[in-house]
Amino acid sequence: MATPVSVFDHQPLRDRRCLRAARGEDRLGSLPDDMIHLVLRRLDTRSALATATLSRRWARLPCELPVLDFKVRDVLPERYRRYLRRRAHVANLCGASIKIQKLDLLLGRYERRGMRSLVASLAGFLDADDNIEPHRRVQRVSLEIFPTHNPGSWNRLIATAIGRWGVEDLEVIVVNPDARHGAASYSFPHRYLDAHLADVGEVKLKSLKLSNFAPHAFGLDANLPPSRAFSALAMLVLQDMPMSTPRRVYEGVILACPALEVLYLMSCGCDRRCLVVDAPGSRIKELLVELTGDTLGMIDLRALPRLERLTCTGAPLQLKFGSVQRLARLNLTYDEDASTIAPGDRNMYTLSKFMDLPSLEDLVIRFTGPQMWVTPSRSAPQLGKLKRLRVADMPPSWDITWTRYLLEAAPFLDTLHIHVAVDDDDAASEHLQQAPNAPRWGAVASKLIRWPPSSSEFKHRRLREVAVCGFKGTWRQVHFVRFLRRACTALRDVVLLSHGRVREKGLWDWETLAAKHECQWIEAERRSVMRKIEGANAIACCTSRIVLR
Amino acid sequence: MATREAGKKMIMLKSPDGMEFEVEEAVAMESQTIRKMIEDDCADTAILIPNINSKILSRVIEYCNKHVPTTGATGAAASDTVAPAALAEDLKIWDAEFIKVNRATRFDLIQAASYLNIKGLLDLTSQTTIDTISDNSLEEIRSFLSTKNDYLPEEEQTIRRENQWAFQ
Repeated sequence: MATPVSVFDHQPLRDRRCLRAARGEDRLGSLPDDMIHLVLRRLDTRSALATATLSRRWARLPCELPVLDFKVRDVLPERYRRYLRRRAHVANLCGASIKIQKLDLLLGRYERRGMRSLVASLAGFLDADDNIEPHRRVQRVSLEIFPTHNPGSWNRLIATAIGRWGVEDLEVIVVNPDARHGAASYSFPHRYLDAHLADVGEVKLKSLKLSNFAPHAFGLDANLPPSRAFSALAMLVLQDMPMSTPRRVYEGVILACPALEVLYLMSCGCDRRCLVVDAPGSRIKELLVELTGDTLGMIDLRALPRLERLTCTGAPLQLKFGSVQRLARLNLTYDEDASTIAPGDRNMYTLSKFMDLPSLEDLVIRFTGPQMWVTPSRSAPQLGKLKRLRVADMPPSWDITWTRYLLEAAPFLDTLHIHVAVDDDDAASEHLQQAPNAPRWGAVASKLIRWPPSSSEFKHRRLREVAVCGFKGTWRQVHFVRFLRRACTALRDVVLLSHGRVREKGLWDWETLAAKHECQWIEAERRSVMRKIEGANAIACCTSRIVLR
Repeated sequence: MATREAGKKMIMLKSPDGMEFEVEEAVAMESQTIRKMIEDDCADTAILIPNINSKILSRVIEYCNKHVPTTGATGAAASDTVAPAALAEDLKIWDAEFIKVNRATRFDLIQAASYLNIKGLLDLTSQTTIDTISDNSLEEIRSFLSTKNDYLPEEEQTIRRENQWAFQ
């Protein structure tokens, strides 16, 4: 039968220049259907859908795709991306200008065209889907749109995905390049969903990621029961929520998702950077909080009885712990860039603001900023169970001896790993290379911690292993190592790595590795460092072994 | 084949044509299917791998041997002497060489990777086919597949409307 060949037939499915045609060796047609599936499920959604038009045999195959991506930027031409790059370039050079306005008009036109295509395609796709029996089984759906005031198509897709297709993993991302679109305007349609999910047996949605949503995304009415859409939800990621989001939105999320185990709030705006979690019935095990803004925020964990792992990142967030008996692993990644503030007004935070938590076993601290901003508190934080401590990416301008605050708070610490960031041309770190009586020292003395003579009586009886990555043998570092060897009676290994790296295993675990052979200490350096550490009056009682790599 | 070292647990894999392959447990565990069998303790003697002949099975083992992660270092005292980037580059070159096989072998490998659930091998073996589909026009794919467009014009219009997202 002669069938017409349409213009589409001559366009490559994916717009690539390197055509590998005419090799003629890949005759997929000889494969059985299940093998074709194997291949199809690895294709991007658009290429896979296109194969439906090959022939009747292929028509139903794309109905069994486990993953569907509808991403508006996939259909925007290369020219759009070129305009975006040019806009960034122009904005860098001269800020707002007529040129930028013109580019914005062009970009807006492309984006509206993309959205129109997506709306039309979804309508065709979902209309046809209504007639497919049995229903598709889709594992994952991912939707990416520009901010819009017309929620109809997206609501329909989300309802179909959760209700009819039994999707387990849903991702809805509102992209707002250069924040040209003003505030986010799409909110998750949970009440609309409830109406559509009424006759669905079991909602399978386990993982949901929402990015840049309108703040009332989960605005809950205390009088209504939680939405059915979230009844099985175990993992929720909220990303780029607007600055004005009230804290009750996040607090409501926890109540709305009774099966939730993992909650990530990534660069989320929150009113006054303050969050209170009081959810004695929650199953949350893992929590990551990153609130935008640069003032000191606060998280008050009044009740999260199953919480095991917590990560806080961004500008410092004070932590108050209530009923969180299982919380054993904590990662604090705080950056305090106080460089614009006059030295007298610098923020200094006491350690007990962040980690007064007796149940803690593993702690990762990544405190950064041009100047040290932690001070010890009068009452040291209680870290009675802490076994492993990692101080990551410590700025070279910080006095390494500050980690002693932690050592004093954690009498049962077993392993201490410190990773000094490599920052060779940082002038601020130079003073640490100098001897204490060097003339410049007076000017920077405030950055060094003065330990009172009485503190030399401090003893630690459990610490066994110390590793310092990025050890340069500066006098302060040597001083610290000598202190450790004197004060820690159970110390066995002190590993000092001039270069080295840390392999992170998730957010709460790590491994310190030595560098390649050529980056290790050269013999002369090694001897000099060893001499400095051993000192003139060698400490006879030391049982620890020093390893330089 | 893996060299036998003291202390490493070995597993016997049997192909349906009677060949036996002795491999390290860690290598065999690259296959999620075998891993599950080992973890469920159903693999005390030998594991019969149905549907995969000895020629293909030996290639699969060759792949797993190459891709089994080198035993991780523990603690600070350990050293890791190979930069990961260089290692990845080496593997890529090796993979490209490995996949230079004829079509029939490649399809057998896809099938084996799928049955044994070895993600890396499945990715590698189906990539050529994926590239063929995504880089060519429908007409070219039809000629690869020796498939004729058997839609009626109106049917084709409908199927295009349904899958319009592919043609935007």
